[in-house]
Amino acid sequence: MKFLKISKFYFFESLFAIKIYYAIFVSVLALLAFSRMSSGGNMSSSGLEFATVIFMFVVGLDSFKSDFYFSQSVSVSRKTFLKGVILGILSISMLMSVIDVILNRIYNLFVPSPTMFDMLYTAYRDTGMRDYRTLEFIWKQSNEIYILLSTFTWQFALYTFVCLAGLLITLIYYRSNKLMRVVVSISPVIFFMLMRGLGNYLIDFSGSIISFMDKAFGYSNMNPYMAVITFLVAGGILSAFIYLLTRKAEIKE
Amino acid sequence: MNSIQVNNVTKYYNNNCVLNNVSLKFESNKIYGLLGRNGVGKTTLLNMITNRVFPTTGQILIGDEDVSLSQSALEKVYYMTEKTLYLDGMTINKVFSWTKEFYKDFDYDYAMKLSHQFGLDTTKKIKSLSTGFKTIAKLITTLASNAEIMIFDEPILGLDANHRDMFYKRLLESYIENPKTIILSTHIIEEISDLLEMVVIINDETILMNDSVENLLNNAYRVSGLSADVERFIEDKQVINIETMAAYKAATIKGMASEQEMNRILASNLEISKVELQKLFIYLTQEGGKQI
Repeated sequence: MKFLKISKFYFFESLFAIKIYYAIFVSVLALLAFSRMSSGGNMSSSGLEFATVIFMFVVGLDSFKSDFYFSQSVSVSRKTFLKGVILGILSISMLMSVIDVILNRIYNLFVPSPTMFDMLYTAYRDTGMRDYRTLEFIWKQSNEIYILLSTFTWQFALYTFVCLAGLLITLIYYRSNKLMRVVVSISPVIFFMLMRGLGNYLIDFSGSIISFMDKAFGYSNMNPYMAVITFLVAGGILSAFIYLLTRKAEIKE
Repeated sequence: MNSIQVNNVTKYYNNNCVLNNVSLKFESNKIYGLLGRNGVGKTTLLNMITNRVFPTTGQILIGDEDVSLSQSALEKVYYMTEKTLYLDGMTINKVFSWTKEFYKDFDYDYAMKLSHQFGLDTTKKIKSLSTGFKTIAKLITTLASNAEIMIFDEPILGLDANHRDMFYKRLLESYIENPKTIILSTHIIEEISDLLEMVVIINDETILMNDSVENLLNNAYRVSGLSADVERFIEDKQVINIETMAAYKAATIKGMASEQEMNRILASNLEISKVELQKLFIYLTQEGGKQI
């Protein structure tokens, strides 16, 4: 069961960065809560856990080289390493999703602050934060079990996906030669330029793309579990690519 | 089973052939010296044995398991490399405790004892250590791993004479207490020659030699004396190398000296001596070197 040890290693080696992140995150939340109290309560915020999404992406970007080298020093096969890292990512995503839900509920005692989940899958998206006539705050964070559980699950799936995306990008760079690195680096720019150039031709497809995205993320019918499935399936596909790239990865001298 | 079998292994880096159809066996519980000049593929061979790089063709077995397929085969090996693979921010204590997670026989107390003997501060981070102490940290981790197969690539990089001597003693103690397969790859042959039981020499993409040190050294001798006497003696011999110093010559000759030859040597006022492993290595691997 070496992969469990790799996942333990991965988890504990990431813990320091997680602690630093939350120290900063909680400080910012405390500052915002203090600002609201001193400004007479006329302030709100939203989607603050997007910071965690960025953090998880960076964790993914930083997940390969040093951990792979250490795993090689203790004679762990690539397959075992990958299994361990993915399990480690799942554990970190789970932990951070739980922490974010807890922090959000505490923060909401001081500042109204819907999560990204609330904005996409709850009544918030219809009502908004305030009554537009009276400008009174009408939105209140829900603590129903279903909402708590769904928020946790949705965030967990999102964080996992984003971290795997970061890991895949760093692996592509690791496995590429100089020329390929340049190609990979400019490919997003070329992609967006092409999309812009082909905008008129793509307009016919845009309806079906939007409809597909809507269904895949369960937006219209407010089903966050469709999004969870989509993130996990996409994460599975990313994992397959990560496996293909890790299979023949070598230490660079 | 802690033998290593290398079967018909070829390795190319781009179009550059480093090893060509190499086959050899590292037998169980012997101390091997893996020798070769710079860039002949010693580290590549060791990296392939530990599945860190992949052969272009061929197969490597540890015991009877293919290293590219078996986690349990890899677990038998601890490979100390010239490159430091631990995380820079790790303290030595952490390196020991994490290695213990992966090597069930890792002896933490022994690692701490060795650290004390070598003067290594285990609370320091890897990145803050000098080259010599990085090497010491890796040596201690390898010795304390109690792996069935220990591989050392450039184990004395940056070590002072005292530390080198201490390492050789601890390695030998560890081997006597618990025999294991040990492979040492280094350029400081003179210092390790007394430790080695077997020697593998790589040259020109292939294995030039895989034999016991005893056989190798018994298969050559050196005569020295006045140039004319030496010239006369070596007329019908297979000479590996000749060194000239003013009116004197020293010739390294292939084979064992017969009784008749011994008498000739004595009669000609020549001196006979054993060849040092390092000298023999130089003769064999230099441009146009002759095989024994």
